[in-house]
Parts: sequence; structure tokens; C-alpha cells
Amino acid sequence: MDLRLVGKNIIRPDALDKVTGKALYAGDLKRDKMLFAKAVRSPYAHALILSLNTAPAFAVPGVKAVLTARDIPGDNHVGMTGSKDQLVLAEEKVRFRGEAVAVVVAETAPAAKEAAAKVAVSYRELPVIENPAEGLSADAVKIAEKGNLCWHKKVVRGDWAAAVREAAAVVEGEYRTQMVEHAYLETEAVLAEPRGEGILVWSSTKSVHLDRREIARCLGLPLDLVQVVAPQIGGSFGGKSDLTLNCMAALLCRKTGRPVSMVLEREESIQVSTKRHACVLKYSHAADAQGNLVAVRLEVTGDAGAYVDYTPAVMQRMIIHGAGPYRVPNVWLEGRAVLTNNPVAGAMRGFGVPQVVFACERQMDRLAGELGLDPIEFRLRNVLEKGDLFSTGQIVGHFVGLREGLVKAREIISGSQLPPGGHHEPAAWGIACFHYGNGRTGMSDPGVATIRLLEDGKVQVAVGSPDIGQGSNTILAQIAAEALGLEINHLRLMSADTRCTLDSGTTSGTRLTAIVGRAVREAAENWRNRLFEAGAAALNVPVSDLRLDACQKEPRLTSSRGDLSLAGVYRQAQALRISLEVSAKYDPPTTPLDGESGQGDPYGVYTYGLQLAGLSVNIYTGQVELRRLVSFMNVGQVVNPMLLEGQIEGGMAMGVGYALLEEINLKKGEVLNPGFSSYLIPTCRDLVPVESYIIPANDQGGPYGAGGIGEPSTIPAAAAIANAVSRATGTQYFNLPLSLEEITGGLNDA
Amino acid sequence: MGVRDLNFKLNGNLMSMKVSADVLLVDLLRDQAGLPGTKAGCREGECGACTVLLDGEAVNSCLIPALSVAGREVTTIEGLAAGGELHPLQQAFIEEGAVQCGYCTPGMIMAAKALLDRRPDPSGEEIRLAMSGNLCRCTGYAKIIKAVKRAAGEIKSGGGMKDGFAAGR
Repeated sequence: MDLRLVGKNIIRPDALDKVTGKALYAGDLKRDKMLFAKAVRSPYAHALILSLNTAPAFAVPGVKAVLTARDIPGDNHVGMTGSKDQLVLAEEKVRFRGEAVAVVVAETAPAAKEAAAKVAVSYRELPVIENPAEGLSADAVKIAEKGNLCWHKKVVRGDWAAAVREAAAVVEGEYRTQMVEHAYLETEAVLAEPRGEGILVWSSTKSVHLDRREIARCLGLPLDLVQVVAPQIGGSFGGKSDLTLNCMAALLCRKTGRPVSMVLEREESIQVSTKRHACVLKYSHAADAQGNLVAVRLEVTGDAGAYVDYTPAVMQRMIIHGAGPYRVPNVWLEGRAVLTNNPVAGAMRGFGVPQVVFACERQMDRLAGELGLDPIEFRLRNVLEKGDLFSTGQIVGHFVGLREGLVKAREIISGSQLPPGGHHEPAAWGIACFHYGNGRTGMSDPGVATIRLLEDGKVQVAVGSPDIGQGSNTILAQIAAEALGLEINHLRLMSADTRCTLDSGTTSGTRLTAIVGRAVREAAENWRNRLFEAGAAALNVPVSDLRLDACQKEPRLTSSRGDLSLAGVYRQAQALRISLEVSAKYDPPTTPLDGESGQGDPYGVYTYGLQLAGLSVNIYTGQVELRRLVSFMNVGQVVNPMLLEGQIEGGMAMGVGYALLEEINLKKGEVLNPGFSSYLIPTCRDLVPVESYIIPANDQGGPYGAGGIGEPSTIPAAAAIANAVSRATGTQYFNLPLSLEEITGGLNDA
Repeated sequence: MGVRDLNFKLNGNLMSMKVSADVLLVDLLRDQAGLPGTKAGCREGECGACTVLLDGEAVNSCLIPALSVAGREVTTIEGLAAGGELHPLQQAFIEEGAVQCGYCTPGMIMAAKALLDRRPDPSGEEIRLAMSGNLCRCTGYAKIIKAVKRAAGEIKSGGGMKDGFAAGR
């Protein structure tokens, strides 16, 4: 199929405003009579609230209102998933440090901050659960009434135990991964302003429609009186929105009748925002004498933090992806998540899969070693191919390309010796493979798009899901223009406004290109047919006589009996009562997973890939010097090569931080490193350029055969680095991050 | 805190403002001067999102008391596109794909501007050193470094920008 726009480097239209400083983020918005809000946050990670006195706050000049849980007219419970166990404002107790117990609004931000500090709260401290093991102990205090084990499921196929008994080699390992922070450069921010009888909320959010539902429930308002719009968003990576923040600002706006701005400070953001799940992963892999995997067993325990939030979605993904992109006939993949008094664990780029891939790929290298096989050769014998079965029994229905990637990777490695940096700096390559299901897991996950002709002849493409900075609006515009037969500049892409877009789901789970994009394509194709019907009726010609001429500044329908501009079609269609607004929905072909065995078809689209890290390790200091980073991705049809490359480079950088630098340090639920001077993310000097290869494919389930890239680019990087560090030093590493202490500690033990 | 008169040059214009002694430059720019292009990412001088030029030097405006710029010249991202024409750095950031969420972008561009004004033809290592105080979580920096290199070339040659980037690279 000849593609005009899909596959091309279209420049993202928002870049101009972003390089000139005109792009506005939620914290940049100013309104007349705007007030500033600040939450009163718990200094304890687990405590009963004995009393709460807001009166002292009013001693600060300019304070307009202080709200507590009692002031919430609707439902105090909010959440990104069905559990909705988190409170906007705490009632009887707090479950994590920094949980909001009240919120103050004042004429200035300093006044709000000063007043918040004056709200008098007395607490009775409860024992703090600092990790899942403590949470599961028999005498542990219950964080939730139902107990601390908040999730427990399995994916089981075949007979794991029998396969292990006959295996030639078995490798076991226990791995630990740390809690990390999204570290988007823009902290959470919201502006709530009165709008008629209702309210307009500008939020830094990946999920305007979900936010609208939660805010409306909290305010006790009908949905149509709440409008949520996302302005420019300064990064998400699975985080944002902070629903409690949205609701606090909205409550205060209703209370005062004035616009209310609320922006988290960096320390506050790192303490109270959701995090990547810290995990303990116990793996056991078995292979036969020929080096074929025969069985895998995984028991993973995740630290859910203080509320359930996204934990079910994250844990479910972990166990589904627990066998890796390999053909394994016998699987037992079991996950548990446990409430603790740590920051809430939520969605973060990869939804649990980076943790699993780190441990699984360490296992693959160790098992290859046990069998006397080269790590690439061992993987070549086991990677999935079209027609194989995933761990859930789903048939791999498309080209995988890992084999082709591995062959190319072997060429690169054998053609490029990494010279050691001296006798004390051994060097090595490491490799890691992965697969990643796009979209929500085993449940309905519709992408929805609307195409409408505007009076001026422009074509509006409307989707609910926000562009969180990754460029989805550009991708979706390319797909729409391709299907419409128009040029990009004929379109207006509208997203992330609940009033003029339909709910197309959150911007998460690598679902925008593959799923929302598919809905955009279908809507565009249907709309084009409708346009031709309207044109045929208006010009009184058969549809077959019509052409859409998009060469002009203004596209026209041409026919043997005359032409019509799109603005002309709009007017004629109005007169003929033909609607030129078309919506389409695309729901991927998934099935719910069986409750006992976890078998089913969880995803309609998969991304595959592998990454290589070439590095050296200073065995005295533990310092890792990256020499080369190489990435291979099968994302199906590429929509925009430059945006794709940007995702791969940025995602791999995040993986480097996960591997080597980043860890949220906690003590009794307090983040000890809540700023960029103590929580280090990679700078440009910590990285080398990523050599990026695209595995050619175009048979994925997204539009024009496309698949997604947002999360996949981060997933295997840490595993590849850990394998390289282990090979270079001849020491097996089991924990992330590979800090200087971790690396030198491992060498001393060896 | 006392309020004092502050006179300084902002993006080429003489400014005269009443400023409280506890106001930081970043807030003066964003709240009083109506220039929200300068971002506040950490307020501890670590992320560089608030980078502006003070008498041509790149500084973290979150660490600078506003009153200390009296009699000096401040340039923000809004002051970079002279007469509506994009600065070569701005053009290069767009065309190299160096912009994702955009929150670090103004600070990145200002840090690069200070570098190129000082060293018109910097090496890759000099670029990385000059930009290492500016954090980006989206791009992995590769395209940002490329954009600075490209802009350096264009500024040196005095050449304007080529248009028509759309087709494959």
C-alpha cells in the first residue's frame, strides 16, 4: 500500500509554541481574582486523625476557605481504576506520608502555604508497614479493612512441576527492583474556574474524561456541568493526573466561586505522587539439553503502597509478561501485591514489565551460561515466532522479528570488540529482549474518534486522549490525513477537552497509535464516504464522478458538473440535512482472562524488541561507563520516524536511570530524596546516543499495521545493562539499581 | 518584606516595577512581567527549566532574587525570536525533533544560547557540559545536542533555515 503521510517526518505543530515560550501549561494559566490553594499534608505515614482544627489558618490574612472531608458534597472516594479506595481528603486515618487531610485557599500562594501550616491536626501514630514482607506478617497492622494482601492472581498453563523434573538445567534466582519516580519536569498542576452553573478544570492530566467522572462524583454535580481540559502537559510517563489535586481545586472553586490554582512543589510531588512498584521476583527457569525452555515459574510480590490505585493493572501485566517473549510450554506465573505505608504505587512507563524483564533476562543469561550456550544463541532457540503461543494461550498472530533482531545484534557485537578501559575496567555487551501488549489488559478498551467538517471548510479530528508531550496529536493527524486523502494543514486536531471530544480512554498503556489511531482511521474513512455522499447530492452527480482534490490550499470536491469547496459542501449539507460529523470506535479483539488459569487473549497488538548495552565497569569504584546503546524495535508500520526515534531515545534514557541511578529512598514512608539534587535522573553527560534500528514489519493490529512505542522503549534497557555489568565483572547481579555500592558490594562478595 | 523600585532591561525593553524583596526572578518574570515561558521545575537550581540570560550568562532564575537584577539585562525565551523571526536554535529544536513535552525547552534553548554566544563553534563535549545543568525526561538529549550543533553551524555560516523538512530523513 502506498502511503502519503504515514511513515513521514511531519513536524509536530506544538513545537513552535514550545520553542517560543508561548505554550501554556496548567501552572501557567492566570485568571482575574484567582486564588491559590495548598494542601495540609500528614507528617506521618500511618496515623489516626484525632482532631482537626482549621480555625488557626484564618489568622493568616487573605485566607478564604479551609476544607476538610466533611465539606465534600459528593463522594470522597476517587481512583484511576475500579477500586477507588483513595480519599480526596482523609477522614479517620492517613495511610501515607503527605496524604491530604485539609486544603486551604488564599489570595496568594505564600498566604496559602503559611495558613496550611497553621491548621492544627492531632494524630495518633500507628505502626508503619515499610515493605510487603512486613505487611503480610501475621501480626501486621491492617492498612485496609480487608487486609494488606490487595491482589493475588496467576497465569498457569501446562504442568510446571512435571516439566522441571525432566529438565536438563534449572536456574533459580531472587531479584529485587526499586521504587522510582516519573520525574516529569512539570509538577502536577490544576486550575479550576467557575463556568456558568458548573466548573471548568484545566488539569495536567493524561485522562480528561476519567477526571471529569471523578470530579463530578466528588462535587456531587451532573457530568455536563463539569468540563475538563488538558492544556500542554509537561510529561506523564504513566503519572498524572493527581485526582485528589483536581478534586481539591474543584471543591475550593465551588466553595469560593473564584478560580483556584494549585501547583505541587517538587518535594511535595515526589512525596505524594504515584511511583513504580518495587518488587521481589522469584524466578525458576528450566530447559532441556538442547537449550529449549520447558518451564518457567515466577512469584512476584509488588509493593502497592498505601492505596490500590493502578496496582491490579500493573500486577496483571507483570504476570502475563512473566514468561518473556519466549516459547515456554509450561508456565506458573503468580503475583501478589501488598499494601504498605509507602507512597502509592501506580502506572509508570511499562506497567510493571520493566521489573519482570530485568529479572527474566538475567535468568536467560544465567540459564544460557548453565547450558554452555551464548546468550544470543540461547535466545534464538526460544524466541516467539508467528503461530507460537503466549503464556496466556493466545496465538502469536503476527510477525515477531526478534529472530531477525538477534541475528543483527550478533553481527554488531561480533564486529565491535569493546576494549577494556584498563585492567581494572572490564567491558562487555549485554542484551535483553521483551514483548509488550498494547492497551488495557483483557478488557474493553475502545479508542474513539470523531471527524467533523467545520463551517470554514477545515476538518476537525477530535479525540479525548491527551497528547502528554510524546506527540500523539501529530501521529493521529497523520493517520487521519492519510485516510481522508487530505494534507495535514487541512486538518485541525482537537484533543483532551471533554466538551468537544468523546472519551477515547487515557493516554497510557501504549494505546494511542495502535488503538485510538485505528479509531481515527475508521472515522476518517467513514467520514470521507459521507463527504462524497453529500457532495454527490449537492452536485447531483453519482459518487463515482467525484474526486477530492487536496492539492489546493482549500480542498475541493470536483466533478463533471462543477466543483464544491469543503466550505461549500458544509453549507449544502446543512441544507440537505446531511450530517458531516462521524464518530468511530475501535475496541481491540481481546478476551477476559480466566479467573483461575489467567488464560485468554489479553491484547490485540504487541510491540517486540531488544536492546544492547556495551559498557565498562570500574571494579574499584563500581562506576559504569556506557559505551554504546543499541535498540531494535518492531512497532509494525512506522507512522513518524522522528517521533519514534525520540520515544526510543527518551525511553532508553529512562531505562538507564532505572538501571544505574534512580531509587526512591524511604524511611517510615518518608521520601528521603525528594528533589533533583538527591534523586538523580540522567543528564546529557550520563548517556551515549542510541543506535536505533527498526525491524521492518507492517502487520500489527493498529492503523496501517502500526503498533505502539511509548512504554516499550524503556522496558529492556535496565535488563541489558544488568546483563552487561554481570558479564563484564563475572559477577551475577540480582538487584536494581546497579549503584556504585551494589556493584562493588557484589564484587566483594564474589 | 519591603517593596522597592526595580529598573532593569527585559528582552530589550526598559522595565520599571515595584518588587518585593522576597520575590525571585523566576516569579517576577512569570507573575509580574507576564512571561510564563520561563518554567519552574524544582526551585533549587537543579533542573534548569528556569534558565534565562543575565547580562548574557545563563543563570537559574529560581535562585536569583529579583531585586539583584537592577540595572542589568535579562533575556527570556520570549525575547529570543527577534522581530518574529525564529532564532536558529529555535528553528533547529523544531526541525531536529528536540521538543517533546516542551517543559525543559525554554531553559535548554537559553542555556544553548549562552554557550553559542560565548563559543560559536563548540565541540560535542562542550555542548554536553554546557547543557548538563538542564534536565530533560522525554528526549534522552540526543536530539537536543544535535539541534545545538546544527544551530551552531547555521549561526556560523550566517545561513537562514532551509524549509521543507517533511520528507524522510
